[in-house]
Amino acid sequence: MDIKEISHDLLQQASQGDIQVFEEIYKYASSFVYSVALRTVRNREDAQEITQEVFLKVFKSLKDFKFQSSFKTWVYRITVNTALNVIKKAGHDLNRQVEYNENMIIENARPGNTIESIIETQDKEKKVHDLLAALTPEYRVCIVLREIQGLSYEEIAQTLKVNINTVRSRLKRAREILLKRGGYNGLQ
Amino acid sequence: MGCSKFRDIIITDYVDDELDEQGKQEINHHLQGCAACRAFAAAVLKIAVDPLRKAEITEPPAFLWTRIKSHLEQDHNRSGLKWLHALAPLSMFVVMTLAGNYLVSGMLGSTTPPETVASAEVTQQLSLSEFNDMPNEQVEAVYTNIIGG
Repeated sequence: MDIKEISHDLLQQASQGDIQVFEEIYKYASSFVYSVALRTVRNREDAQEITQEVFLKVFKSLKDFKFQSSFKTWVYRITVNTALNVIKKAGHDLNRQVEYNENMIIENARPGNTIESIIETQDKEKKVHDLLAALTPEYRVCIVLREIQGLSYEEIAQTLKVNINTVRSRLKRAREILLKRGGYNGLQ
Repeated sequence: MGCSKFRDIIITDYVDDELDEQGKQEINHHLQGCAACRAFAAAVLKIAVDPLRKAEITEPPAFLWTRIKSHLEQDHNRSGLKWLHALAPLSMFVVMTLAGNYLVSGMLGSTTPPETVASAEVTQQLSLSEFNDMPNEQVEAVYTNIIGG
């Protein structure tokens, strides 16, 4: 279910410390949080740690959430900041060999998936992995929020707390890097 | 506007559908007449945009919620005990204060004001020790001068 469908009442109940209600929030938001974390750090174990940390932070801070931004934006922001901190602390860089786990595709395959669809998914995932690996964390986050999460420029700007032109500039730069990497020679 | 400016818009707002109707029309009009920019737009979509837009949203493993829930419950229990620990010294203080008051009031016993007891003692000492031979009026005068009572 879409994260923006979480109701105000549910958030209020969870902010009182109701873990059962908070599980509903987890169910709504966990796939997006995990996805952003995974695409940013490109490592399954780190992504799990980040997801855990994000939800613990959200639970503790819910009572202080003043609804000045949307809940979605707030959770996005915590996720991005947590992921970037992990990268900074671990000294991750572009040259670091980060696992691409082919088994992950097979483990996540649903019943009814054919071998062909699994292989197709594997190829797609490898491509995504390689493209994102070519970018710095700063550019990668912007691309992930835009291309994979489908956020608008305004939403990305609010999430990252930057100017909308900064978002535009980072996307442009990131895509130029990907074009060059993909063998396009027409950049001026 | 030159091709360079058009391409800046194509690589960002155009492919991301962030343009208003007028902006879209302007770009489309340019693309109709410029093969180089058409090739550029196609390359942006093929290399830098579509492969990422087709990426799947990956779900977290099922055990993750169990782990998170366990942490939340532990934190909840810890915060309950913290209150208990904070109350313990306060309770001790209250009990000891009450006990102390009880003991002190028990030791005092009498309700005679202290200054009266002291005056009576002094008078008794004076009259019994040094002024045994003095008339009572004189004893009283001495007492009055010393005590001021």
